[in-house]
Amino acid sequence: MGPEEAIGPRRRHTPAMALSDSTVLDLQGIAVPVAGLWADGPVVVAFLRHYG
Amino acid sequence: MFCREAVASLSGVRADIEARGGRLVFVGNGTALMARDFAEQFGVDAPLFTDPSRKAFKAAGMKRRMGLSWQSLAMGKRALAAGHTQGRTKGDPFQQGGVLVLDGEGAELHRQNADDAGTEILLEPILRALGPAPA
Repeated sequence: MGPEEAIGPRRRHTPAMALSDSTVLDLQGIAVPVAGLWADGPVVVAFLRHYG
Repeated sequence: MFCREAVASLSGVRADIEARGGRLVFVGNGTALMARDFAEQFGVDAPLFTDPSRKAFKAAGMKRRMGLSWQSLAMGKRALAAGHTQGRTKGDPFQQGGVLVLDGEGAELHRQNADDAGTEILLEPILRALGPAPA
């Protein structure tokens, strides 16, 4: 997985700024701000290719 | 099959992620109904969201390209051997996945961008980016 190295020690850049303006849907189809994903602390966001 | 493998792989270290103060979430593409079916069928117990517009995928820098190669065929063998079979594709077949590790302010600590179908997720760098687990 094109393992770009761990960005470290901390905070090399913040591309999440564009991401933070995005929304995703929960399983009920309700829009959820992506920024809420890290509201409670660090998060590992795994983007899946598709469901199959 | 590769999405199933990714879910199984990361779910296997979910406890380690949480021990380091992190949280695991999945974001797929396709409709909420597709996501719900996937979660139920494969027992995804971490939060699963979906991004039918793929705007979040794009904002996160995930690639969209033809993701098949000789290498992905070999990786398919690996996934099949582990019991992850291929179902009907639900979502964008060209969208590639990856992993972002973000801190509590949304700053990027680590990323992995899949170039190809079946590109393996490297777990150790993800855990390392979160920092050590408390003793």
